[in-house]
Amino acid sequence: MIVLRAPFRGPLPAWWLLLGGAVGAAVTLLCVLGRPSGVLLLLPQSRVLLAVSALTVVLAVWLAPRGGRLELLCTGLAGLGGQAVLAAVPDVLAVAVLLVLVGFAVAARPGRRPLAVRIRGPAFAAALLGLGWALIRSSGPVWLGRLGALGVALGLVAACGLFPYLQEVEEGEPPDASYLAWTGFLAPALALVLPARLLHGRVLTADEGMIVGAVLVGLGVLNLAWGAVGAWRAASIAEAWRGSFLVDWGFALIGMGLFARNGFAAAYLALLAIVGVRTPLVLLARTTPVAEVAPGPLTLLLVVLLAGAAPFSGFPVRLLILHAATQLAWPLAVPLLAGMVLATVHALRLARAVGLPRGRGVLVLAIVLALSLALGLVPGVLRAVGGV
Amino acid sequence: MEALAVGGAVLAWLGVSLLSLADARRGLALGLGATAVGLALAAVASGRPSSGAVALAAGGVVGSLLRLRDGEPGWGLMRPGSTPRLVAAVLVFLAAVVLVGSSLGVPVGVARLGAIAVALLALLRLMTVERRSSALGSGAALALGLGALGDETGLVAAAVAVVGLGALSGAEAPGPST
Repeated sequence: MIVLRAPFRGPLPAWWLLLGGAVGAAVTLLCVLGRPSGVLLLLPQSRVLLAVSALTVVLAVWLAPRGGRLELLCTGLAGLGGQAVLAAVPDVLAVAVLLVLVGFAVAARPGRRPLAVRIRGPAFAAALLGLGWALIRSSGPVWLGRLGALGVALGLVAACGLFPYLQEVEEGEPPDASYLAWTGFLAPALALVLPARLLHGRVLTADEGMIVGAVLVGLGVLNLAWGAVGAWRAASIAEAWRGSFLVDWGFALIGMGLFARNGFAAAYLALLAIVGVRTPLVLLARTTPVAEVAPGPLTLLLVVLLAGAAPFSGFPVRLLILHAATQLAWPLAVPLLAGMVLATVHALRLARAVGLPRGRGVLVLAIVLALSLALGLVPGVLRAVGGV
Repeated sequence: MEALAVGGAVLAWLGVSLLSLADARRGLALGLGATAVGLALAAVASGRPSSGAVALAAGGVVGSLLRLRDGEPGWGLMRPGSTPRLVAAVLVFLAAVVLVGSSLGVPVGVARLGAIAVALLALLRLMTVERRSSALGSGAALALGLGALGDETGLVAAAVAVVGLGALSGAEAPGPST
């Protein structure tokens, strides 16, 4: 017990948090094993995302101050369980129900805003998703199915906490109580499987599919623009980081909405980068002291990474998106290229926010850089592993 | 079966209306319990697996009993300012009728009507509520409504969600009770 507790020295968390961590770990294990069969089914791309998420949890715990590591581990395991169950349950209505439960579990974490306010986004998303799906499956008139398709697409965007459903961002809010919980950790699991569930079951008619695609592409372009300008012009660095998430999510939504093989691949890689690269970088930036740092080689490296340039994770995403967009309609490439250029402006600002990590931060940064390089250099391998 | 479906749907709508008009623990618990039982009856009548419906009812009852342990004491019904909620309860029912439309003549359609009305009214309450216990009660009703739209997996998921939400503390201090 003494040996086990050595890296987690400090007071034990409340019993319910320990229980939440244990349940989260057990649920993750069940989802990975696919037990009970027929009820839980984890797609290969979700397995890869779950592995990357587990790495992010480990990095977050590694970065945390010694007294808070066990609490963060329990929270992370519970989050991992939430992510696994949202990805593994094939029934979309059951996913909507579980979204309510996971939303309340996140909103119940201590934070600056009350639970009743923080639950509104996830609850709205769950309702849109569930009611939309029910309308799609109903045997009513055509307009009901179209309304349902609109609801499902908007529900997905709302669950991710993206524009136009942006949460308030407060400087210094705990990560698990902030926008980061959904936008940077839980929602990618849902976003990765939902289009696959919609398409593979052949549930959508051509009209409904077009509505889902148009909403995702439209809101993707809006999020790309909003995020690029927001990350550049926002007053606080916390808002700037959120803006950079919106840029990544913009690419992911566009990729999903194009309903093309390369588009899905771009979305898959973008979501992996959100969980494995962007979220750890935000956590790292929170631990390094805010100081004016003269740009050095490390800052330059981070600028390249955050600008989405080669050889890092953002580059294949941009390349695949452009390829998929030009296959569909070449004029779509024009706003995309403009957005990509605009999204490079904030890179220096965010790279400076990461600063010069010390101690444990150095290892975390090295791992994040390595993962980003892997995503950028061998996307084909990751696509093959994820079956995308 | 049609009468059972209609009875269940009406009971569910009355339950969620009571829940949306209540601000204290007894009103929330009774509303939640009635919603769960009503939706379960409608689900059975519409031919859904009885095991799922039983799970939904049991989960709802356990969740409503758990709601009794904290939050403001009493019923807290129809406090000043609750008139818009009363109007919303009627309007939402009418909106659900429009959405279900032509399939109202069969038990499946009636059960869907009850579930949609519950989900919509619970969502409206959740978007406007300030108190933690009321948010938890409305969230549980939302889970019930959404789950009742699905098959056995949805019903069981709703039961799990309602019990899970019941375990969270309704007291204004953050975190579940110890």
